[in-house]
Amino acid sequence: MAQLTAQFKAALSAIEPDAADKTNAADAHQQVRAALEADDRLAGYGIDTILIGSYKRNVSIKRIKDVDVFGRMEDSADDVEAQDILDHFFNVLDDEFGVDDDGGPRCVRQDRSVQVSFPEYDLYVDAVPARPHTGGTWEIPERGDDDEWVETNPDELTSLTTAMNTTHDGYYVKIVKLLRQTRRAQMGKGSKPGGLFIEILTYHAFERGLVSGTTLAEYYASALNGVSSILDDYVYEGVEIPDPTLDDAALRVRATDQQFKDLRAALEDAASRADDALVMVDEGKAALIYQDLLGEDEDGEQVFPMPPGYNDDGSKKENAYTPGDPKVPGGSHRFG
Amino acid sequence: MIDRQEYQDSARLRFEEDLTRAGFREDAGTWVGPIEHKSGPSTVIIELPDLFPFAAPRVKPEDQDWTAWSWHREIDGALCLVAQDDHDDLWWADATAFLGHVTRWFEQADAGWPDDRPDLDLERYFEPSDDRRLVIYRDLEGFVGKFVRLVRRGEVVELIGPGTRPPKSRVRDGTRYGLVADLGMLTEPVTTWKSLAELLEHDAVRRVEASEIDTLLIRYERDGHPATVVLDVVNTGEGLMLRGLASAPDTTESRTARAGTSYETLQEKKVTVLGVGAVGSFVVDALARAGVGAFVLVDTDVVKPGNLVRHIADHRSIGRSKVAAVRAHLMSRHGLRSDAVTAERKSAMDADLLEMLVADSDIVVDATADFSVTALLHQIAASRGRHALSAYLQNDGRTLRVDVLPTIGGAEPLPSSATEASAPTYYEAGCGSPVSPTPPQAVIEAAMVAARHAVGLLTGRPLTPAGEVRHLTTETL
Repeated sequence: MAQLTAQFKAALSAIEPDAADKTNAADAHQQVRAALEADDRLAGYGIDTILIGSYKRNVSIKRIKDVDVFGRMEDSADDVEAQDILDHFFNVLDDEFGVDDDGGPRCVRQDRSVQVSFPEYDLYVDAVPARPHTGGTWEIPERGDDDEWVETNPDELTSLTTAMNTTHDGYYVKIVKLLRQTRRAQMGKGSKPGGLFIEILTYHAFERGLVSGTTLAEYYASALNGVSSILDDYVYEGVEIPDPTLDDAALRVRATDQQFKDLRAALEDAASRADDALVMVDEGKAALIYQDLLGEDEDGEQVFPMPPGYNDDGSKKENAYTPGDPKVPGGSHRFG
Repeated sequence: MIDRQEYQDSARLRFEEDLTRAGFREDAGTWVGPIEHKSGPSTVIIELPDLFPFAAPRVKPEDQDWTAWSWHREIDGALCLVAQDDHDDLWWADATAFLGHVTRWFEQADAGWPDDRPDLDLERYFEPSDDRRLVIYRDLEGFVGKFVRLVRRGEVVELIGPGTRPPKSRVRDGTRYGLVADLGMLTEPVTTWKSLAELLEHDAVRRVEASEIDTLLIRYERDGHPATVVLDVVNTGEGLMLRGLASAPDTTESRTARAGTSYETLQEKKVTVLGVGAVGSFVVDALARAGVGAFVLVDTDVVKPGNLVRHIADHRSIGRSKVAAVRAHLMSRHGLRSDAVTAERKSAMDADLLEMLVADSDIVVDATADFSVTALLHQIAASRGRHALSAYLQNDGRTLRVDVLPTIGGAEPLPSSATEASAPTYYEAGCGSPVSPTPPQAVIEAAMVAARHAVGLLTGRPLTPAGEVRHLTTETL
């Protein structure tokens, strides 16, 4: 059974966002939040900005490309239309951030948010306006009519993540990162469904008791099997995937049926190979599988390192440690 | 070829993989898991040292006090798992074997440590003193319960006899004042002043606490084996702390315990060595270390600067006769009395002298490398029904040889081992023979072989009937 604990820890380090990325993200979102909270109209709505998204939940993997700021307006009037508030968000942020060095606008109005670019950081901040929904949740602008809103509860996902991670002794967040990396390696960066979808699947797999283990390797294989099972039910049985942050709401993800099928097939295959690696006695061969599953980082380096004593092809190096290897050929009962 | 660090990392990988299979989990650089035993299970924390697998893992119980304290735990609570003489094959590198050993530790603890090995290592339970001088003490039997004085002598502090600290004395001269106490059988280690004070006489405790005593020489026993630990009493201002002082006995027993099992027998033996130059001087030294009690040394030569590299004498002996130099060495280095070493600055080519020495000595060792002397000694030994040894190197140091003369039981002498002589390369003024290129290590090796044969003959257990020839390759010279 190849547990390769040190190598899994190294893999997690390899996909952990750099300290510079984290510093830049913090600076960028603080700038956006400060601009929004300084606006008189938004202040009148009682705007209270919080961080949401994978960065907030500490499940980002290298590198951090975007940060989400959730602009909660507790006192927003019901007659404020979705597109109107989105326009206002744009105007406030456009006034603040203007154009980049090439003269291009730094703010882009999107369907549900305003995206602010930070070229010096190679980073975007998405500012999302939100107003209270019934039942303690929130709603944000939706595509379509001027006053189309959609219910959401992103901060709840942060709370659920923290609670699940505590329940599983810190394994949950690590496994989310490893599965996000696996999706990226198997499906390609930017493919759909994206990282949030795999995160939600992972949450459900944990929440339903499908994931267990005592090591990262066991958790990883178990989680791949869990998410594969849930996705299989969704793709072929039509079993909806609940949005864990909302009561009685199904998760809505922008992807085609074929994209879901492709992801299901990839995860099923990954789960099978992770199971194989887990029971292997030869750590080198097991590491090859993990390398294939987790892929390479942006520098082309394997995320999962080959364990010490093994060549890149998984074969054992000459003179690697072997139990019982006599380093003292004379044997025992010596005096010197 | 992998480097040292990767070798260690691969061993660590193997160990940790096996630990994981045994139910251990990694926690902040250590491994935590269960050990099943009769009164268990016990949760232990395993820490792999930086030098693993060359150094053994350390194991601590997660609950330090649930596991009984005993002689089998370190000062920090770690289990004593690996004795200093138990490093064979780095057995601990195999996690399964290691966990089995840990399990046996708990099983032994459950059973109260039957068949316990009495390691006499109480000093292990004290932090070392800042005073790093070695404390030397003689037989303490006559000092038990008494106050003693220890004075600085060079690099050591030596117990010189009874004594108490004079009023207002200063300690800057390195003098220590101590108490010798006998605690008898200890069932578990004493580790603090408080626990030790409970075992001492009231007056002794008072004097320690009054700072009249700064050193404790504590005798104790484990399973009938006596030992002594010497402790530095340190007043921290908040109380008394005990610190371990490096110490060692200086008794006949301690000086002879490492001399080999024939020491007592050899004390009664007298050995004559003909020629105390290169080979001969080291033969004498080795036999004195083994316990030979008396020597007759025969040589006419004096120690010259060029001799030193292949001689037991040091530079202070330059100009002295070799017999006087070696005699002085025996007395100063090995403590032989003056009447136990006879220095004969004479030629060994003296039949009357050899007749007398063969008759008077338990064995004569010829280290002259002089064909005539060897032949004469052989004849005299044979005629007297005795056996002598002749030890020498041949062939410019490429062959070492020891002959038993005559052979034992009529055995065939060893065949000639001489080869073609090489051209001499170096002569010294006033010396008739060229300087042999034989290197010192070959000289010492030949002397040690000769000493082993001599001890064999002296103890009635000759190694071989005819001697020994060993060809050293030129590469090793």
